[in-house]
Amino acid sequence: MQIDRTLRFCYRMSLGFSEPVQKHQFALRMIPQSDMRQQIVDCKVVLEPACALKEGVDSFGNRYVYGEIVHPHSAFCVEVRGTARTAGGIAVLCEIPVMSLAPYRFASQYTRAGDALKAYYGQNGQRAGEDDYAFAARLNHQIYQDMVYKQGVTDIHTTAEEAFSDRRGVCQDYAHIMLALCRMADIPSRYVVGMIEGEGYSHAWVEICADQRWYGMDPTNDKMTDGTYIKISHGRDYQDCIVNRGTFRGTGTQTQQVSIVVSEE
Amino acid sequence: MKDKVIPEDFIFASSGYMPECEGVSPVRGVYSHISGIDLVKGKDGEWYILEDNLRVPSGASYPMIARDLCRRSSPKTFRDNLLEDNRNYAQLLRKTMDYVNVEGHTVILTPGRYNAAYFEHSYLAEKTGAHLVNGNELLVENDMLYYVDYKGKKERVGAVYRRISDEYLDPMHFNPESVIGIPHVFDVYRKGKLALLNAIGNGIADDKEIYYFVPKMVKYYLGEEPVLSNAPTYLPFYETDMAYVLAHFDNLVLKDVAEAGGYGVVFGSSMTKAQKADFIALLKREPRRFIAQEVIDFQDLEIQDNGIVVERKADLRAFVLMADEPYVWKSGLTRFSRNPDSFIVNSSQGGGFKDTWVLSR
Repeated sequence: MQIDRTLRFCYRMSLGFSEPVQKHQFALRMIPQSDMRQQIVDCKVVLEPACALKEGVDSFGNRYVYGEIVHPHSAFCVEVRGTARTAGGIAVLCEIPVMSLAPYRFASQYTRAGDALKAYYGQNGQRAGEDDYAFAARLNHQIYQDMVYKQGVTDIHTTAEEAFSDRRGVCQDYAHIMLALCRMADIPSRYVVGMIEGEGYSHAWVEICADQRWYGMDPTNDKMTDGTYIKISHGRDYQDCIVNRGTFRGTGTQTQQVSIVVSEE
Repeated sequence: MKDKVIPEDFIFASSGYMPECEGVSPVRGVYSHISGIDLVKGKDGEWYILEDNLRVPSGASYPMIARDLCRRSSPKTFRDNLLEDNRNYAQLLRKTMDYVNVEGHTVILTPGRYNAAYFEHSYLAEKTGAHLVNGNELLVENDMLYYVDYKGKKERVGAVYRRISDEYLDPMHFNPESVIGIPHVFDVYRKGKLALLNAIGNGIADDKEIYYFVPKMVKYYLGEEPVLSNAPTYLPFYETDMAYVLAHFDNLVLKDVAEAGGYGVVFGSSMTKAQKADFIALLKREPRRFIAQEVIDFQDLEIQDNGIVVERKADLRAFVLMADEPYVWKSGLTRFSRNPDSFIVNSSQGGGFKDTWVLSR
C-alpha cells in the first residue's frame, strides 16, 4: 500500500437525555477498520459512562461494538480516536466472491427508483462505449451538477427518489441517488459511511464494483475518494450503516451531537 | 440460483430478503421447524397447496382444543371410528424444540396478552412445559441469552420458540422501534449460542413469487415430481407465461405480489373491457409485479350454522414439524368462512374452525 497521508481522527458523539434513562443498550458502527486502502494504526474507544464492550461483525463485514449501561444516566458520550494511514485514489480489490455482490446489485429500500429517477436514467443511462467505471464516474459528476446541496430539506428517512424529485439534499441523498442509478445500470454499488479531512459531521459516499475492484466515488464533492477519506462502514444503503442504534428505558427526550475532527499529522 | 432455476433478483430484490442473515447458519441447519401448509380440495377431488407459511404459522392449538371438546361431548364417536390420535402435538413440538436447543431452558416468546394468538402461546407453553415469556423477561449477557425469573435469578436459555415476527425480534438489528423484542438476541443467534424457531429470514421462502418455484425446487433437489400440486401459477415475467396469461386472461386470477391479506387480487372474468385493456397495459409495463393463477373450483365443506347443516368454503392447514426428520402431524386446522359467498376463512374475519379427522385405516 502506497501511503498517501497519515491522519489523526477523533469522532465524538454525545447523547443528552432530558430525564435520566436506564437499561440503555447500544450498538455502534463508528470504528474504522483496516483494509487495502487504509491502515488503522491505533484506535481507542472511550465511553462515558464507562461500560464493558462486546464486539461483532455483521453480514456486510462491518465491525461494531455493543454494550449496556444499566444505571440511570442523563448523558452518553462515545469518543473514537486514532490514527489512520491512507492510500490515495487506488482501487481496492474486491474482497468478496461475486455471488455475495448480489445484495449490492438490486434496489434497496432507500434506492428504489420511481418515475423521476427512471426518467433521469432514460436521459443519462446510454453508454457511449463507456465501461462500468467511466460510466459511473460520469454519473457521479452529473449528479453533482444536477443537485443542489442543501441541509434541512431532507432527513434520515428521505429516499433517493424523494430527494431527486426535489433536486436538493445532503451527502446521504447524493449517495442514494448514485446507488439507484448504478444499480439500474447493473453495476454493483454500496453505500459508505466515513470521515473526511476537516471538521464537521460524518460523510457518506459510494463504492462501485468494476473489474473485481471497488472504486470510491463521492458525488457530493464531485470527486473520486483519495487519501483524505477514512471509511467506517458499508452496506446497501443508509440503514445498514446506522452509526448508533439503541434502546433504553425512560420517558425523556434525546438530543444528539456529533463532531468529527480529521487532520493530517 | 447458481443453476438458474430461480433468477437472482427474485431473492435479492424481494421484500422478504434480509441481508443481515447472510453467512448465518441456524443450529443443526434447521430453518423451518414449524411449517403451516395451507391446502384446499378442488371439485375434481385433487388437493392443492395454496400457500406455504414458514415464518410464524399459528393455529395448532385450535385442533387440539376442538378434539378435546369433541371427545368430551361425544366419546362414542371416537370409539366407533378409527381416527388417528392428535393429542401428541405438544410432544412433537417439544421434541422439535429440544432437537435444536443448544443448552438451557426452552421458552415461548409472546408479544403479550393483548396479542390475538396469546391463548395459543400460553396453551402451547402449558402443554410442552416451556416457559411463557415476554421480551423483557429475557436478557442478553456475555453473548448468552438468559431468562430472568421473578426473584432476579438468571438462567440460560437454549431455544426460543418465538411468536413474534423477525422485524420485531431485536431492535438493535431490525426495527429500532420494537419494544417487544430482546436487544442483541440476534448477536447471540449469529454466534450459534441460541436456537430460534423458526429461523430468521424465512420470509424469503414463502412469498407469492417463490411459491411458483417450489415445484421446481422439489424437482431440482430431490429429482422427483411433487406429490401435492400447487395451484397452476404463471409468472408474466417469463415470455411463455405472459403469452399464456394474455390468451387465457378470463380464466385467471391475478395477484399483486407486493400486497397481502386478500388485497390486490383481481379476477380476469370480472373486468370490463376498458379495465381489462388498462390492466393488460400495466401488466406489460410491470410484468414482475403480478402472478396469475388458474381459478380453482373448491369443494365446499358441510358445517353447522345454528343447528342447520350448510355448505361453506374451507381450507386445511397441515403442520409439518422438523427435528431430525420432517413429520406431518396427523391432524390440522380446518377453517371455514362464516358467510355463504365469502372465501375468507381467517379467524380475524369471523371464520370458524372445526375438528379435523385423519382416518387410520
